[in-house]
Amino acid sequence: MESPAPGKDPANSKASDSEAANALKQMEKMALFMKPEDMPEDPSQNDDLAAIQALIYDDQTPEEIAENFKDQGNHALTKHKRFIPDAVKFYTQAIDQKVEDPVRNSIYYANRSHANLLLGNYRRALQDSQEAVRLNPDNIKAYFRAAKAAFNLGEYDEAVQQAMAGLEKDPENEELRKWKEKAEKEVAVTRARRDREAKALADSQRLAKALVEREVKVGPPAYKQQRGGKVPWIDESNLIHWPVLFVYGETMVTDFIEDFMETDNFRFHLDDMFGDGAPPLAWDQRREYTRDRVQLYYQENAMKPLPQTRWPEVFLSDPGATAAAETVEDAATSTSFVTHPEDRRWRRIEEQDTLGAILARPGHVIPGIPVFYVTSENSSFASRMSNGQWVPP
Amino acid sequence: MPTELEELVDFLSSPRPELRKGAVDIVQGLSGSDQGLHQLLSVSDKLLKPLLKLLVASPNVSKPAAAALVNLSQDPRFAENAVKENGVSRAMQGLVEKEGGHNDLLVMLLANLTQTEEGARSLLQVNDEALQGLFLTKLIKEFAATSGSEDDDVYEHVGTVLVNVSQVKEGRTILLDPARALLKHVLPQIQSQNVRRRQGVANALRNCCFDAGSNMFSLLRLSDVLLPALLLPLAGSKPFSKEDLEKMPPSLAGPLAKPRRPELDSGVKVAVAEALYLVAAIEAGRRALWQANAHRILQVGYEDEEDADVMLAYEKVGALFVAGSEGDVPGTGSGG
Repeated sequence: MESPAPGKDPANSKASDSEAANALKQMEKMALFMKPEDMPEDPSQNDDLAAIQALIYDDQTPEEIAENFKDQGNHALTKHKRFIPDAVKFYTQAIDQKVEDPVRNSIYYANRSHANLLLGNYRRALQDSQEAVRLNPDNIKAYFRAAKAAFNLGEYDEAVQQAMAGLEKDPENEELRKWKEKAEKEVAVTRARRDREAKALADSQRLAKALVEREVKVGPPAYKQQRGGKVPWIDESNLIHWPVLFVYGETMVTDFIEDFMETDNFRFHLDDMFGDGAPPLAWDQRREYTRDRVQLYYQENAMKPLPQTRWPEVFLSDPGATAAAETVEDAATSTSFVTHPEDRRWRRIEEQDTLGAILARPGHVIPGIPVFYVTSENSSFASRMSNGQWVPP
Repeated sequence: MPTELEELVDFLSSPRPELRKGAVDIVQGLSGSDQGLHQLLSVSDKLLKPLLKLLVASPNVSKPAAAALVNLSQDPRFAENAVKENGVSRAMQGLVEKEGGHNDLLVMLLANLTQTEEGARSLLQVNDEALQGLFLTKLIKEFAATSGSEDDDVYEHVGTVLVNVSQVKEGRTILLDPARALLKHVLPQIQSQNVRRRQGVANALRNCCFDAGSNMFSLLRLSDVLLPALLLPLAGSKPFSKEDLEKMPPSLAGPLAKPRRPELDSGVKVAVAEALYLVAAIEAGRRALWQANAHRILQVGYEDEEDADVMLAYEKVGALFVAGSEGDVPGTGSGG
């Protein structure tokens, strides 16, 4: 069909109302005849369509045009969801009419925000709904669209703000109340998590500083399985609590002491493990490991120490968490940390010694966590150990 | 027309040495009586600077100057002004130079000057980052080099200085600083024959234990000297059984295995018991004391005690051990 000339002579328009009405109907039909999916992305790409639209809306006010676009947008939303992007475009067209009335504009923005929410364009939805609120603070729908958009962006503080602003206008609004509570809950959860993380970081820094102060040396972890993911920690008095492993060399059975303070002496813990009322060791058939016969040793120069920068890896409570921790575990068997067997010595621990004093001994390298070897005085195993006939595997 | 008193003060700054000598001797004499002291204090503004100057001059004038200043500085306002005029530094200067042989007077002067916070801070040299604690270290060194068994205990009043400086936070920080290890030299004096020394050490210790909650690590690091200071004065004179001694660390078992003279001064015992209380009130402190068999030492020492105030102090501390959070043994035992 031939393109109708754009822009009829205004002087003639009044005279031919019915003619114009007919022409209008024809045009609408033609536009409707085009299937929606055939409609071009941007109406202005198709000159015909632009011409049609210009013709259709030629003698209407910007307000009427904008309302028309709004209606088209609303209509699009009632159809299949593939028309939602079109709704966005229609609303945009409404906005572009730049009508003066902020209440109307607010509706256009709020509707576009709705469409964007449906599309998952939360950032745009938030911007649109914020603009809608700005244009008309009484637009209640805009508030909870803003809250919903902000919530989905993870901006929970903003969501709370929007919901609260809306509730000021409409205190009984259940939807807004719901969003406010939801968002406040998330704010609290996030804050709690951040506080925990900050504390954990601060604690590990305090621990590192304390270790340096005490001049202890830390080496790659041994006995990974037995230590069960326990790590040393520092308390409010700046005293270090160590998880400690006792190894019965004779059978390679281990005992784990979860909380051995650096200021505790060994007698205190031995009394607990071997004192009155403590059951005998199941495998100790000759009953050699009694309170007065147990003896403790640490191995001097068991391995070479790790540089201080790698200590945090050793003290990660979940060794499987990072690849770096794996390297530290490997280090236990790698050659770079192995010491010469001739340099390794057994050192006796007196019951009155404190853990802190033993850990600070020169040549004592802590294998991840402190490990102490248990023998029984005058037992055959004890002599094998002191003769060098037995060494830790 | 200057009064006789004002003339006297002027002579302290005279260019003629015999006039200075004459004047300072008279001032010393006046300071020895209440009436004379009152007179001198009325012109204290003019008196202070010349006297301080003489403090570091030749011995024949510095000694009487020191004596006069000791008497005058018992007045709080005079002491305050003396601190402002660097009296502490002057006294230390005189002490280090040692020419006059009257270090006992200089230490007494320092004891008076450090009564106020400003005086204590001046001795601690808190405003001088590089030299902080140097005066104190010097005094402690001299204090520890002598034991108080001498007839003439020149440094016995260092104990009072320690009490004064430990009343301010900076003093406690410096005393507890592991790098300086000052208490290592101070605490053994709790066994000195000189009661004044013991009193000074006991009260300074009590002050240092004031922040036990935040300083527990520094305190327990000094266990070798801290535990004897806290417990030997309260151990009475009865012998301990072998079983009791085995549960103690060597620093306690050693002295307590031998016959010993008990602490007789109730002031010392009360101060030490208060220090012990401050440590035992913190769980980590209580735990460490328990492991040293402190409760047993207190039990035995208490049996000999008859002074009501001291008995009360024992009971207060003892109650902490009975009421330990885990009942019988403070702190949980091991896993296993």
